[in-house]
Amino acid sequence: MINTIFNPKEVAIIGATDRENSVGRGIVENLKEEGRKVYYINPQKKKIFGKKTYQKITDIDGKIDLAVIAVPQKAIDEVIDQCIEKKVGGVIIISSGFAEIVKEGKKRQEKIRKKLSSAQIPLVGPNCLGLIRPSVGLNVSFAPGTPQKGGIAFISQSGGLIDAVIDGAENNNFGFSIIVSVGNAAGIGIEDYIAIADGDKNTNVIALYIEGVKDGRLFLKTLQNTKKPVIVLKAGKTKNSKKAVTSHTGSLAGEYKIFSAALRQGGAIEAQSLEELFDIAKALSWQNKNKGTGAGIVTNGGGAGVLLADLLDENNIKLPQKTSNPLDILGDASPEKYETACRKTIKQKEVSLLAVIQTPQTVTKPLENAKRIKKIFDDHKKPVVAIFMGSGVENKKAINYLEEHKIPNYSDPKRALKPIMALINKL
Amino acid sequence: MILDYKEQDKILKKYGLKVPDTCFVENKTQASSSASKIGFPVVMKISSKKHFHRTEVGGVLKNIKSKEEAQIAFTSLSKIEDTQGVLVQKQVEGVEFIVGVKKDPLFGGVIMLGTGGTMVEVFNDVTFRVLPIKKGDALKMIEEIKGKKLLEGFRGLEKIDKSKLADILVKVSSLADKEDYQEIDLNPVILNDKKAFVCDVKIVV
Repeated sequence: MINTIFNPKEVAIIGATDRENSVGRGIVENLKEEGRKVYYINPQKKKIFGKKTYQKITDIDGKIDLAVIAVPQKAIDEVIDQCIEKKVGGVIIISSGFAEIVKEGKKRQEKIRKKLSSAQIPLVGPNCLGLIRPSVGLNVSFAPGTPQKGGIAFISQSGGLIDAVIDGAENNNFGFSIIVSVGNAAGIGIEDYIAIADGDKNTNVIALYIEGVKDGRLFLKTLQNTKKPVIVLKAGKTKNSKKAVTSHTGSLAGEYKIFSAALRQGGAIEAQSLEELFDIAKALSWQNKNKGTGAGIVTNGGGAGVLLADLLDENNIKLPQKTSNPLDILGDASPEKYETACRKTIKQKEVSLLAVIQTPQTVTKPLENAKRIKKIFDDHKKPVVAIFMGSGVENKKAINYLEEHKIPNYSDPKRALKPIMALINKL
Repeated sequence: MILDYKEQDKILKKYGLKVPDTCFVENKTQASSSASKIGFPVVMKISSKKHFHRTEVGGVLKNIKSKEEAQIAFTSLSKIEDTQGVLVQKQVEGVEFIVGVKKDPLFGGVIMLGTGGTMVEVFNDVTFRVLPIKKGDALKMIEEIKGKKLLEGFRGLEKIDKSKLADILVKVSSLADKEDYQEIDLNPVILNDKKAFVCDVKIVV
């Protein structure tokens, strides 16, 4: 399954088209030939963008690893039968109009699921955005482009959120190993995707957007069996069971509270927003956790240092006081001063993580500071987090340098809090 | 439906959950003699299959210190409707927690630990786990509630061994694993530096 769907050698796009503003064209534009054969299937067109099209998938001579289906509802049954006849390695159904809308759709979905399942053909979707694997140059989705590769696997029950993340991706320095839109999950379920990501050598961390799961116990067990860090953004927190409540336990045990507890029990980290999901994910995709209780802060601005110190204190993260902590090296701090202070702080046994704050003052040299912090990060086997505040030209260069060298930067001490806690295993 | 006193008591004992000395009484004379046999002070409360929250109907009377008080208490408790009898129980001092179990539609049996007593819904200081749990899970649950401070020698209180509470959670986990239930409240579970007791239980089937 991993090879046929997740890294196919031959892909057929059924419903390929050059018609503007269509899903089929979106997939055609996203799927590059890079090392794999791509076939277009469209019974109404002879050529798409100058490339030959086929009437149906069975007209193709060679084998097909993956069929991506984006055709109108009425054509689905026939297309699925042809895929089974062709013995394709896997199927992604992009088309909607299944269990998400009407009873009728639920029946159609079940029929297709059964057919594919008895032919032993794995199914992604239906009703999904598709699959993107920047790590192997694969994009079989109608998302607005392909983000850069990196260590984050993003598994989402919302296609729209994937679009939003990809649309904003060029502002980020982190990248993805897998992005998959789960859709109605008639075939491959969310637990399967988690296991696939856990076994994927390009994935360091798994980020999930979840609205609901079908089998709570299976989901929990999957989390418990997952070796890589999992971060979860859960939607649907207000829904409560409407059953008459008799006991205290019944009245206190809302569905979301229990879901949240199950996430903790499974060792997953819960994020409260999309921003927080990726703030934590990028830190864990770049650096290893270092179990501990203490953080060291170096800052050239007193205020920002106190803000972070307060947040850490509220969350029971110790600030060892062998040297001043936060160590305020003042507004005129030179790169040399930053380096000395950072080295003095990070080498302490009680300091499990170094947080370096920089406010852009007249004499501040952001890029030079960033380079020195990178050296310190390389010299010590401890997590380093940067809080370079501001977004001026010089600062942006420095932030990019830091993040290209796997030191996550956050624009505000508050945003750095959870990533810091995650890196010292306190979440 | 709530199981009756005797069935509940049998189940608690089966899983090694300690209950303070308790007698089920049906008249004034029984009430006063049981109370003096148990030793004052005692708590007296109604036994009812219908009242889920006994304090709300005035069904729990504390600090009963004499035979006379026990008789007066019996008279007033037996006036409450849908009462099948009265329980006389040794009054235990300590910090109060709630341990509960319910069936979640998605996860099945889940266990709850919270800072307990009659104000449990006000404080809403609770945490959950999907069942079954082991002692390590139970100890983590204790760390997740604010009420853990009550065990750590808060404001001159005696320090209480957290593993006593963890043991109760684990016992409730095995109870839930084997017995039939919809919801279970153990409230309050009272701990002091010497012992831990389940003072009240409601098993809803």
